[in-house]
Amino acid sequence: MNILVLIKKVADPNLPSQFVSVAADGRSIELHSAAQFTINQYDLNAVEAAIALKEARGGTVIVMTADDASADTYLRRAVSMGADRAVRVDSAAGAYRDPEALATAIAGAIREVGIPDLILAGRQASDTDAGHIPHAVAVKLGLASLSPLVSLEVARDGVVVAGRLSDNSIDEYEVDLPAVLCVSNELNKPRMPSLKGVMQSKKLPIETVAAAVSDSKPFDVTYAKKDGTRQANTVTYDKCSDDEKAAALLAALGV
Amino acid sequence: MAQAVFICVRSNDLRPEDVSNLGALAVTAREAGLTPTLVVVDLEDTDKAPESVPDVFDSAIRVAAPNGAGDGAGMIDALLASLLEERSPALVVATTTLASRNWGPRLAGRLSAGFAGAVDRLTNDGGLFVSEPVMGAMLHKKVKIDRPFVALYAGEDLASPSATTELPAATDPQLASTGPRLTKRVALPDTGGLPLKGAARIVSGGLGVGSAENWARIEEFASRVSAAVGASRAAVDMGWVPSSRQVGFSGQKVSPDVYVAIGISGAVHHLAGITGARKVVAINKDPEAPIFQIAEVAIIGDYQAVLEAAHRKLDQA
Repeated sequence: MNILVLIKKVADPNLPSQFVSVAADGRSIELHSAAQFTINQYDLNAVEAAIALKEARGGTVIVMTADDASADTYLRRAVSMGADRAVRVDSAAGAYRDPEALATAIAGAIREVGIPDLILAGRQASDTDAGHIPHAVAVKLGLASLSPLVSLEVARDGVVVAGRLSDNSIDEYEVDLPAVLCVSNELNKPRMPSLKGVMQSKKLPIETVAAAVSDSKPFDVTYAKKDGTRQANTVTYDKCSDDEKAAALLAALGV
Repeated sequence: MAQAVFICVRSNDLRPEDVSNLGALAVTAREAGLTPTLVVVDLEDTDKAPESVPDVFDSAIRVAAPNGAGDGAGMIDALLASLLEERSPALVVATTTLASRNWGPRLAGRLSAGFAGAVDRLTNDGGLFVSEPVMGAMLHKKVKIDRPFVALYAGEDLASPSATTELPAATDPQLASTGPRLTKRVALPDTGGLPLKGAARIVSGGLGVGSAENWARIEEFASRVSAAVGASRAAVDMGWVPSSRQVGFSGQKVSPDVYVAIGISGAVHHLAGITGARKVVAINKDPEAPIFQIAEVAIIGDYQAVLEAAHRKLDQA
């Protein structure tokens, strides 16, 4: 089973708010030079799912990202977990600002490497929380897409059973492959890379694909820092007894 | 005139407030020069669903999803694409749900439209704009709608236009859908059953709860005080509680009268989910926890001891 996993480099979701600001013209986000980055956490679940399927059924796993070379370290992380190939769609750092162009670039790159049996991605990225691009890519490739998945199993050749989280239920779908599936953290616990995996990831060349050009124009977007955080007149219960603390809790609840 | 199409997906989960919100947003769209129209999509179980819609739409149609569509995640985009392609809508609006976050971006792809999945404001301000929080709600992003756009609304409940009208007449069910085949729906192992959305009281647990066994104390207490159960992302990641209970930027936005945060440190992305809470009570062992800066009642201590004392008091009452 050949699988392709889409990953994204994002700013550390626990970045202090002082590290995040907006350019003077309001048209872009600026991060403090000390800001840390990471692989989008849900994407790790997607990589783990791909490796587990490969271990069970054979095949290859390609990990792909659309970004500049600073994202290579996250491709290597996926390789150290067991991915076989790493492909970077060479995109300027600001490509995320135009989702249409980004989806065009990724869909083009997937066609170039060859549409696999299964495309996996995280359900949403922690910077935008949009969960947009994998579905946009699916539509461009003429594939079904489901999100967010909490279970995934192969039913038979060419068909998987995907458990999708709904508001009150987990809904199981039979999905004909190829398809795009976006996973949630309930799906699995991503493995820690083995030493051998880490060594291999250092040696593997990162393949690059030029981004397919789209004639889309980005939308007119501005950013602003959120209005001030709530101010509370805090009453504190610290040195008093548990009974007094409990009384305060119940009083606040109105019971 | 360019159309703004409002999609109302009817099921027993549809709140009357969701329907009112679509009406309020339609009024804004009309003020911006678009013609608001309504498309109602009936899913399978609608016996408890709202039966009227705000009387603000120029026209309305109603279609039934095929049997076996579940919450529609796997096929509403296909159903709508054929209806909407001829209308070339300038704007499509629906309510943010787990299902619409699946079909919404697909619909945007089919219509070559922009997409936003958690819009909290639609404004008419020298042009029509949608706004949504990004970067863990540290920033607000505002997009000008000057080309086709699909927006899912996740903001506060809006004052609804008062006049209502009946649903349009139902049409025959659609032919069976293509795409993923829904085979089974398994009810979520829910906790106490009270839904987060619209709950007056929420008792929420974070990493400080300590273990899956301890999580039961959160549920017991919530049940005792008729509160819905919430959780921070950390508690969900630990597997103590399903992600449907997650409150925060990536989870539910809640606006209860009282929000009790137990063992929750108060990271920005969690706080983004509770800006609507009238009163926040925080219980945490760490006096430096950021949650205390925004709590009206700050209880520093061991939550287990405090909850035990609370149960005793309630037993005596």
